[in-house]
Amino acid sequence: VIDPTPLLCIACGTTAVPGDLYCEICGAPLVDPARAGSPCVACGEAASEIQDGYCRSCGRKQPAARDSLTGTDGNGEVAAVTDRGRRRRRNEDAFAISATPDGRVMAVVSDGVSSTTDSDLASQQAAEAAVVALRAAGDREPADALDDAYRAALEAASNLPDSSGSPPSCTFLALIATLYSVDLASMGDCRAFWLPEEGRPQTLTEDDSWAAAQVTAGRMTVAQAHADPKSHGITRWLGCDADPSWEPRRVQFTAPGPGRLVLCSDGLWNYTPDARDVARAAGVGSPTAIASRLVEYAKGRGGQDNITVVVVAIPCGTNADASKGPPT
Amino acid sequence: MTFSVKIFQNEFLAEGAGKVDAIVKVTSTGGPKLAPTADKAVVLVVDASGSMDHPRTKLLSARKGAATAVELLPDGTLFALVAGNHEARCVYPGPGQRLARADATTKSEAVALTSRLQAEGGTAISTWIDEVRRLVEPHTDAIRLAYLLTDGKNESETSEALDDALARATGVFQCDARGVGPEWSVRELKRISSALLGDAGRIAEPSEMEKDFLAFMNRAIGRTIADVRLRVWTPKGSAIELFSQVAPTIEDLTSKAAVMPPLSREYPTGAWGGQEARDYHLSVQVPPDDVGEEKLAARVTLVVGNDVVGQGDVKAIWTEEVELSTRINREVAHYTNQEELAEYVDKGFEALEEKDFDTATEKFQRVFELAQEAGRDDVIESLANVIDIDGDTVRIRPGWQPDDMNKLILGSERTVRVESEDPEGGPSVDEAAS
Repeated sequence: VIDPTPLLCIACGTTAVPGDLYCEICGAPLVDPARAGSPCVACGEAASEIQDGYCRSCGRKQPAARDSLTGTDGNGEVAAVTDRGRRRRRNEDAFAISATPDGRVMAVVSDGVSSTTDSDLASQQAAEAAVVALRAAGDREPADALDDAYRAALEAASNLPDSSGSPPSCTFLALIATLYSVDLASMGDCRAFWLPEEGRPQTLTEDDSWAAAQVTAGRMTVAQAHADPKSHGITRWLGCDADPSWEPRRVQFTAPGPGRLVLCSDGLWNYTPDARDVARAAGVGSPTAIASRLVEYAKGRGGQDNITVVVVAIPCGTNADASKGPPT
Repeated sequence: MTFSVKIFQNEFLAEGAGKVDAIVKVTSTGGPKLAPTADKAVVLVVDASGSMDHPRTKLLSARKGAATAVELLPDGTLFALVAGNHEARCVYPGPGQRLARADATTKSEAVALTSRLQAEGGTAISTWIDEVRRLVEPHTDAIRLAYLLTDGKNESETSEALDDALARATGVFQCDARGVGPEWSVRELKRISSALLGDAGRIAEPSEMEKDFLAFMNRAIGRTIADVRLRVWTPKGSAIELFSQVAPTIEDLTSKAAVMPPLSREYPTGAWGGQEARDYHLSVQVPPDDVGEEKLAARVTLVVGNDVVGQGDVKAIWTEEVELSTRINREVAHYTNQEELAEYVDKGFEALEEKDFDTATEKFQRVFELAQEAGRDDVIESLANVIDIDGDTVRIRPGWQPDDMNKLILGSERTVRVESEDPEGGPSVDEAAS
């Protein structure tokens, strides 16, 4: 099982669920354990002056656990980073990743729809529920497993209480990969990119967005659509106000050779709309190195939105079954 | 007794902005019976200057009011009755005596002696204040409260003499100040009540005096927790621009802060009863942070003795969402409006005193507008005695009386409280765009 690092509440010491913002026991804001005992991020005041998550000198709220989370599997075939970015006050993106002993890699990325309350909870719970379903599917057909994952994510997001008349909602992108075989299900505007070691990078997914609809209908070019203020409006989502007839888009892809798969939220692809842009920003290296580099790239370009990146090495699961060769 | 501290604010700021306004609502519940038993010292100071005889009902009503108040004293209360003119005289238990302890005997003795209150001589309020201080000073553990009634200006001494006496009495006892008749000065009354954490009030008719004495005694009996302070921490580089009580009356406490290094200030609020609600307006300027960041702009703790009995956090979150940063919190708006109203009354009065009628007219016109916005019919009614409003034309009434102004000033400083929902229970604010 690959999960983000467990978190400890700095106020009461309780182990918290990864991705939670506040301690379930005492309500204190959770702080990344890597930051526990660190001086203030803003003014450098000693750690002893950090109280309830705020600096007692300059007042700055210290980074919450969910502001920046990383996850990786044991052998480095899949790595994930999610980051609050530079402008949003909380991280409403979430990821969940997992791998089975027989070499199946699973990953989910979800982006909370930021015009709704508690969308951070929607994305978190949808991603967790989806990866649980993917694991429970065992070695069933990827298409069936992804179907289960989508239903589980939809149910998780729909079950959240609507406290303000704008129900919590989120997007969804799930992956199952084994060796060179890649299955995807998506709803909303998270994207998957294929970055081959040799050859032309590809965008594997289509957005359920206003911009995509304009382009598909031939009303606008990609550039025109993305320049429009409405471009970020999504046309499908998960939540209790989602249309029950909606089905996720499905992609079945067989990689022609080794490379990297990148799953991301729009916090990244806003700055890399084309697969070639992603490839340039990604560079080469391990999934961990690429995931961090892409997040830093988006932050360097302004970090307007939350950023989540999952990188999978293809072929994956080779350690589990080395006898399987590349496709012919 | 338990306290609660609740914060009402818009925590969102535009990029580069640093001013954070919040309303701090403090309430006490639990009633006096649950409170620790502290000794209580109550001193009644009654004006006994010559003018109290004109009309004689003033003196007679004051005697009756004082007698009624004494009868209401719970057994065990420390008390004294002081008559004040150009000097102070302890009527009961007697000149140079220490406070008496209330029981059937002492109370009936004191009631009998109220008839000794005579109207003669001038007015030197510093001597009254000093006499109360002399009486209550030894009782350092007691809740010490005084009621001071005057019908005239402090004309038998310099203004500095009163200031000096008030400085000596600050922190020793609290004092409510009342004016009766047309001659007293609202500024003097407020100097006394502000310095001594009490409230200033106007008794319109001598016949209302007994009721006011009674109301004071009931408040005094209810006050069971002494020395409650509001401690305000603000971040390094910030400045508290305003800390003012805004309900039940407007009382600017900004200059009363005791500095608590490194980053806190403490404001005295005096003694509290078990069923009180007071609201405060905090305005703090903090160094702006980056968009997306959050800062604690202030932490307000309620302190009794050395114990923290309540806490509320004021936050600042910088955002690009104009819809968020331009929102005005309902409570902040409500009190800002009333503070502005009181400020314009004060400015208008100041201009009138300087015979600057143009400025006064302009200020009172604004008072009229603000009072209309706030639905303060009481203020509009008082204002009508000072200015004549005919459509868009406003002019100062030539025959306005000082007492009309007293009524207007004190009325404008008594605020209407806004009913608030629990800030925790309300819908949370979220970012608007995708």
